[in-house]
Amino acid sequence: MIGIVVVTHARLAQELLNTAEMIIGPIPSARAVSIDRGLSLEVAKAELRQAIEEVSQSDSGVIILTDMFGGTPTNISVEFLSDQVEVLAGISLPLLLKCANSRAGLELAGLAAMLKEYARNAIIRPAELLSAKKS
Amino acid sequence: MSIVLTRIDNRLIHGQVLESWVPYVHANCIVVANDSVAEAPLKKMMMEASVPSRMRVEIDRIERIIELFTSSSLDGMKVLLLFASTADALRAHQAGLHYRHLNLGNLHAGAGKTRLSCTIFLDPEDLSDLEELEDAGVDITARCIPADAERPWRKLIPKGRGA
Repeated sequence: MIGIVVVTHARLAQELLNTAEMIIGPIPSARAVSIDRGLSLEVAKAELRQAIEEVSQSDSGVIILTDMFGGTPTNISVEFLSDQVEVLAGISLPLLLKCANSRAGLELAGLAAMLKEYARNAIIRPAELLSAKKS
Repeated sequence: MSIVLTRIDNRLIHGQVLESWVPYVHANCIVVANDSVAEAPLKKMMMEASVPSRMRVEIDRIERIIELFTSSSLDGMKVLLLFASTADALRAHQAGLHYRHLNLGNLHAGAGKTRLSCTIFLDPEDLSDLEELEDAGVDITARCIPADAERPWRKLIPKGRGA
């Protein structure tokens, strides 16, 4: 199974994982890594490296979900890009849930590409739904 | 060209810079003076891609950045200038890039570094670099993000210590 590492500023990563597990139950092979203000880049990279190793199973690979393109969590994550490691920047709860629920049976690049499209469409403005119904 | 912020930040372009400093100082150009990123194509490309397309971004070796500042290429720009270390900031200043204010943002822990604030760790060499810049007339203050209070850098140093 493809491993999941969530990397964010502050404690968003832990709380996103907690929240996702509250909704769908335990998520195996998943780790959260927080990049705090006071953390040096070397320590942050070492923590991320360890998390990737912990969720790596056989050769199915690891997907790293980060909070924001351009931010430090993403900047350090892209240094791990390889055949075995994908990075998606712009995590949301729908994205994390979809990732946890659909990774079985998919290969890594396919999962990353599917999740990118899924997350784009997971932003909904209810007012638009209402006006579409009226017209 | 005006320099709206000169900052030492070992993370260079990242969230705090893009989301907090750029709107605060109304920069329309980010300049990164850093030899190692200039020579790491993937890192450089990711940093360039993270900057909104309405902004100009220049990432290059320190010597090349000094040339850029002395040319007319940045005319009319409001520049946010980034260094990764005190040594780079001093090197650039000595070579003629005369910024007047220097913001200490993120200078994280490393061997031999003493913690002066949650994001600022300095060793004796950093202290002497900053002293030299101050002697050259640079006003040095510490402020991680605009929401933090700005403090003169010497206020961070415990009494009876260096500098």
